[in-house]
Amino acid sequence: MLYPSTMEPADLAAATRAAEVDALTAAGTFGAALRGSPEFTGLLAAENALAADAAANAAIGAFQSRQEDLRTEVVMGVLADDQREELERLQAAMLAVPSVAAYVAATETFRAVCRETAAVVSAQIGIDFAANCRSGGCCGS
Amino acid sequence: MLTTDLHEATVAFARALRQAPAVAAYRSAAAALEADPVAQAVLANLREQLASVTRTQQAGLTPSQEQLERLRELQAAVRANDTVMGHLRATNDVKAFLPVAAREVSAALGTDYAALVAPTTC
Repeated sequence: MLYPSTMEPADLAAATRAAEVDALTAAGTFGAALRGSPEFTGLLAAENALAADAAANAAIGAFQSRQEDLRTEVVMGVLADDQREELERLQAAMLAVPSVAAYVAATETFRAVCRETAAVVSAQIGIDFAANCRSGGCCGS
Repeated sequence: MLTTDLHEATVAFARALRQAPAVAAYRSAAAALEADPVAQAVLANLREQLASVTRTQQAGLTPSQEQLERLRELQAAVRANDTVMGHLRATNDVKAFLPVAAREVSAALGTDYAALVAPTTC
């Protein structure tokens, strides 16, 4: 890009727009590279294995169903000891299913890769990319 | 540890992002603020006064007229400082642009990149 002060306003606007388009194009290329990473391939494989595992889906369903039943108590912070123990037991049973454990591990592995890429981006641009990926910051919608 | 291909794609993205107008303007505004001790003092004074008013309120007391008057003066000083206002505008612009870039990443990836990299406090 030419130094802005040497450019006509129309050229400057075009160069500005081109730089933005370049960045968004590079974003797409980067996303495709992430999709081609071994960690994402591993995550897809784990997801497929999980979807095909009836025992895993039954364990997930049992945990989620009870979690939904007790949502109000959890939100209000009034979960009784026996209810907490039941939820913990169902969660432990779910996580003990090999395909669930493999999916959780694959997700964490891919998440770590994504965070590493975000750190590389942050270092280049001088602002925390991970924390500003969403409108309204990391907690935004 | 990133593979070579992914590392190269990440760096290429980061460099292109750095050239994007909103990011370049933010970097320039951040450098201007860094080099302007008056602007930094204006911001620091406002933060200090805000903290003082907040402490008063948290103690269950009503801030004094003097405290509120000082707060208004410092807010006016911030609004009158071009370096600070330029930094605020550039920060707002970059915070609006980065989610757009992240959505492009997510579209190509097929899953929500922003959710994957979000700090654990979220």
